[in-house]
Amino acid sequence: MKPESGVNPIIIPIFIVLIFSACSYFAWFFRMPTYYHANEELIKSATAADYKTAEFEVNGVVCLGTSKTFAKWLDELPGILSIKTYTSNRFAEIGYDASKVSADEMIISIEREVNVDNEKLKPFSVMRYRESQNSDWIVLRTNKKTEVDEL
Amino acid sequence: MRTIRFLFQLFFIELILYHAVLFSLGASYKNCETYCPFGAVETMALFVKTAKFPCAVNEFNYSILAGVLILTIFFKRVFCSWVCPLGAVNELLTSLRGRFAEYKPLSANILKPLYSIKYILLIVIVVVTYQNYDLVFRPYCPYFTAFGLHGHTTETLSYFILANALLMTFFIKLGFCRTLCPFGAFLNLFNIRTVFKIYRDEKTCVNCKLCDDACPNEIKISETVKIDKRGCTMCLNCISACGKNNSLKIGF
Repeated sequence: MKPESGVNPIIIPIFIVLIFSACSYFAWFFRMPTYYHANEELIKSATAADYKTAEFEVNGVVCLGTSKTFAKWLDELPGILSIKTYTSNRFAEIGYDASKVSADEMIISIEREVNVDNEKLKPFSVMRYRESQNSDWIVLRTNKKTEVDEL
Repeated sequence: MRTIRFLFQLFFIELILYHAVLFSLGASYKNCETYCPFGAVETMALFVKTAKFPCAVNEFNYSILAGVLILTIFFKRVFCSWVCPLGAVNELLTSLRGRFAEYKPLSANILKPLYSIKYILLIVIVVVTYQNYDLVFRPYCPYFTAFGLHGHTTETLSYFILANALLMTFFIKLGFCRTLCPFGAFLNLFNIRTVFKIYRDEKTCVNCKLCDDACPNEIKISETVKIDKRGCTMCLNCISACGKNNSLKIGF
């Protein structure tokens, strides 16, 4: 286009607003887990009635490394079928066999203390959880800055 | 247009600070990192390798990076002059510094090596992040130090680096942005043949050079017809300064 018939500069702020609005939408739409692990054999053996998906908001699940530690600790329990973490909102979706493990047992496992160099560290705090996607949220803590220790 | 741009910059600074305050009060998990597109650049190689988000990076960083790249392809480095909060602070400091005394022109022999520092930084940051599987440069990031409200990896050295990065502005216009900003270096890779650019109409231009003085990136606008320099951030200061016949216009 020749300069005599230039584009109105107002197009720039409009374009910025449109692009960033679209980006925010797509970020939510294409949300992908930071960590995913599933035990296919256990999933096949679990009955449909006992297969539940619990959701946890866990302070301390901030990256791939902490997600792996989180998953490792949960995997020590019997009946854990799948683990999915979303670090952007500190969420974890746990597929579990309700006949073998309960949400309370999972919380105890998640919130354990570990000894590192003679120092007791507690890397995860469950903020809220629900035992299945149909049940109500149970809030344990509200301050999202609840102190957790870095491993 | 300057007012609109100023309001945009102010809005993005407020948005980042709002989230930083909420984060520090424990009301949100989102902080200034969540909206940093450079986090996506740093970890892109890791993401391609593992198909997982490493460190504190998530889908937000990548989608914002995608948006910034689209903006760059259309309007050059418009992100730097309209959105980047650190760019806004640098611009404010440049403006304040300019009121006290004029910037001394530096020779090309000094400027060229200075401009290349940001490309070296970009390569070092990407490679070291890939090797360490972590955002190892976060404690030294001026953006995180300035807008993280003393984030968890911020240390004394972080403030020293931030202060020095801002001090550069007292010697070179937009000193940090033009010489050290690795994200600016990354965007420059896409800032070659953009859809829109600024054109100067030679027929109506009276060569008053007001546009040259207004350009924070010190581009000699009066000596060219098509402003397709990599340094152009589409701040539109030149268009606002153009005194005669609206000789500068955006075109494609």
